[in-house]
Amino acid sequence: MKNFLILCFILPSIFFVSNGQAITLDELQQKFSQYPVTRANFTQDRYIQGMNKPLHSTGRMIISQHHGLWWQQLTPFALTLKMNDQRMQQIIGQQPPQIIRADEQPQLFQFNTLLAAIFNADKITLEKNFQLNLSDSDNAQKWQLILIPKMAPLNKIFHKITLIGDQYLLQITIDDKQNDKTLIVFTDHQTLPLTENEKHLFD
Amino acid sequence: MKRIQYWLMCFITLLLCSCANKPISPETWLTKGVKVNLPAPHFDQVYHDQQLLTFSYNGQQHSLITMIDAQNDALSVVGLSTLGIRLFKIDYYGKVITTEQNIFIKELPSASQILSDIMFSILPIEQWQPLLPKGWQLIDTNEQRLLINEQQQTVIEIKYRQPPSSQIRKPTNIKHYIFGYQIAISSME
Repeated sequence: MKNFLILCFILPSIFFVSNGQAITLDELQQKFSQYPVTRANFTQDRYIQGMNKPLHSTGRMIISQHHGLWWQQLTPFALTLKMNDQRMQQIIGQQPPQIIRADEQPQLFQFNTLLAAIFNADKITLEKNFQLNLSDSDNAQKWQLILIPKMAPLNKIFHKITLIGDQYLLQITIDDKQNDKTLIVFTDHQTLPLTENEKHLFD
Repeated sequence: MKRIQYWLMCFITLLLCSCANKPISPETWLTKGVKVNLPAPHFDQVYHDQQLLTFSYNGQQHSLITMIDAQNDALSVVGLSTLGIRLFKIDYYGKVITTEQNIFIKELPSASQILSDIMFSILPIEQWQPLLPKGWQLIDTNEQRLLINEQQQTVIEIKYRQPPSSQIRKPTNIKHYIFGYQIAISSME
């Protein structure tokens, strides 16, 4: 599943971390909201247990603290997902947009909000819900954060979620309870403010 | 009904139900009153495909991703939402079909119906013909395969890009005249 979309939505703040000494969760937190906009290209491989080839897709995305997530899959077929705390919109090819609003599916958005709170580096929530393993490489250029859910609902869905980054978030690996695995790699990060045209992407 | 909410509701659904692993009968409905056994899978070549299926039914469209692996006596089909959420997995090995239904979406054909349509599309007609009712025919004509009933009416029409050959053809469109749905198929490979 593309739970990573949720993760990405709530991950803007984790895109930047310090390059100092051994990284702590506090340091991650401190850096979390410095950059209001991040763009990146992505490749995703979805490995389904028992199937020979992964499902491969590519595209680009923008995360804005103010506007939400804009996720555009370009291959193997065009799909655009826009998401904020009020609504989610999916467009496939030339088909009409499909929209779900928070007031129509409060349970869903409650769940999103839970994850958002977690990945917005609410340390208390993070430690309450996950067993955490934060480490960095010898030269502190890269860090890895492993999240192992401790309680429902997350532990019904995920075995673990692994985030790897340096200055930016570089990779998300999701190991889920169906023994499927999703690997998303981000490249070509940019952090300039949104252009006027880009703002309209979130409409 | 907003299809997207089903995709998104997976997060909730997964909390409420565990996966259902159950064997199902290797049979399929051709019309409301005609049921036949599915052929046991037997492939003399390796077949793999990833497809975007777009169902048209009653003026509405719903999309689904399928992953298909076939080799020797085994056929596996995985259905995913367009966001990559796993909906079902079917393993057909020998004479046993095992279905793992992760999320049920009423707007989409059942997993077993999808399996049936895939098997009608990729298996040689020789494997189907002995199982069809008396007077029914499965015919390959150029870039088309037709299932015709005893009254010479087309029940299912399958389109391909290639004419028949020794290689398994990948379908591009399936139209079921009795059940009234159509599937446009885009290969994702």
